[in-house]
Amino acid sequence: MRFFRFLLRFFPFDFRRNHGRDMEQVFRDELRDPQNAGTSGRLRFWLRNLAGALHVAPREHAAMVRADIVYAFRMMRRTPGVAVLAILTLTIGIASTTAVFSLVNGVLLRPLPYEEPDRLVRFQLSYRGTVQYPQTVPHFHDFRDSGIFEGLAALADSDNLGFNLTGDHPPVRISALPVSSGFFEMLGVSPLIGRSFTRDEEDGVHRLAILSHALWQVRFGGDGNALGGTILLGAEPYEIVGVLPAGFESPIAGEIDVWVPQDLSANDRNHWDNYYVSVVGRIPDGTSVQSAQTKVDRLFGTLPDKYPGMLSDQEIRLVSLRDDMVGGTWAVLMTLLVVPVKQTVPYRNSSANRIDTLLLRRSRSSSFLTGISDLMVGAFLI
Amino acid sequence: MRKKNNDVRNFLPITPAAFHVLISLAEGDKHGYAILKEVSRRTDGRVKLSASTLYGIIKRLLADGWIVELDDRPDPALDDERRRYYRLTKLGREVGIAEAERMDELVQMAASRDLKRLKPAKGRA
Repeated sequence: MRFFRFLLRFFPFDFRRNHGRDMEQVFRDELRDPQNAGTSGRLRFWLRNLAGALHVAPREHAAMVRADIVYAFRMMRRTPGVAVLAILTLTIGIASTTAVFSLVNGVLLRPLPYEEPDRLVRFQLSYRGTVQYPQTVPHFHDFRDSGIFEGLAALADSDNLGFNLTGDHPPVRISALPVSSGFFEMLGVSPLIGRSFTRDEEDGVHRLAILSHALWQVRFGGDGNALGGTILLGAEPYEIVGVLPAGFESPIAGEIDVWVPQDLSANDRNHWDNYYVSVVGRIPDGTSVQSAQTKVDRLFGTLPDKYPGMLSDQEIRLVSLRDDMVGGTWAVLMTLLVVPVKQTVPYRNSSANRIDTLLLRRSRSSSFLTGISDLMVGAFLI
Repeated sequence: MRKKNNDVRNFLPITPAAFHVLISLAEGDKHGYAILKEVSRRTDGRVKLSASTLYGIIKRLLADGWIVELDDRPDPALDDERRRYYRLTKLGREVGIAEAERMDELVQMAASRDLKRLKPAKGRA
């Protein structure tokens, strides 16, 4: 009996609900029938029932799907406007959701394209409830020499600087970003050819350039002899000392054409009260952000003594570079994700009508599960 | 789900198993096991329906309106109340008759053409 109940599970729910009990009764009656007694009689009986179930169950499933398809087509024909609207909205919805997912995947889900990105942090200055990213150059020097970080780099916080790239070619507008020495090393990126900047070159005098792979290809055709040559940024010649690997993007600034040394020399601009550089660092392996934060707090607490006049109730917070770069993007992307969902509202309203119809059908001896399968078939057709 | 065209010939042919069920119910109302036994008895055991096959047919016959399920039991005192009984409808009877006539025509046609003469000789394909 248990085996026959097991066979019944292969039948559609509606079929089982309507006839399952009767089938069990018939099966029970047959078991008691003397004609089915004895080894051969019992064997034939089992084979007959097994074959019957395996033959009828798939046929009933097929019949159910066929009926659902007919029903779905009938519903679509009855309300063609809704069907067309549903198709259009779903098309737009699916397309936009796919686009947004590409963004989510590219921006949020993929790790930052740097070595061990979880160890990268950005400085955030907090003062009486307000926060800002720019730091001062003297403070940067203090932290760079503190040993708290495995690597610490400064980059111009203002929007990347635009330059006119002149020379033999027609002038073009390119983006350039001043960065300190150790910037690329801190990110775990090595130049494809050439080298990166040294501390001596942060004096504001050296005119050096590291090219992006794209600019190197476009301007020099990927020629290695470009190293040691010069490019004219504005009217000034910059010596090319390196080329970065393809696809490299700067944290915070994004796609940049040329990197130049950040001026970190002691001058009026680099005053302890002039906040204009972003600071990004790599905490040592095995050190937690919290532990690094404690050390930063301790050091920062000593700085007002070093710089008379400096506000003492400021704090520097270490923010995960990943959170910093994608934090604001979440809100935008979630908004974009909501839009496609909202586009389906007209169809959902129509579905509400269909659910009413389904409840009606249910009351006419059709099961609710069958109704759900109707909806699924309808949605599949659309 | 009755077909719009009321000409019962539109339903033909029907499967032999369904035809057996119709014949069985032509004698009177029956529950599932009784139908099954009747079919087996009538065919000297050559046709034995399984419970799955029987109720697959019953489901279709009910849907097509050829049979109906009875609310009352023919003899509740003598029979198990849990069993459901089925009755042939007028349409079902007409379909059964039409199928029998169709088969009769076939048999007559075979007889008139002396089917035995058309039987292939032994050894020939």
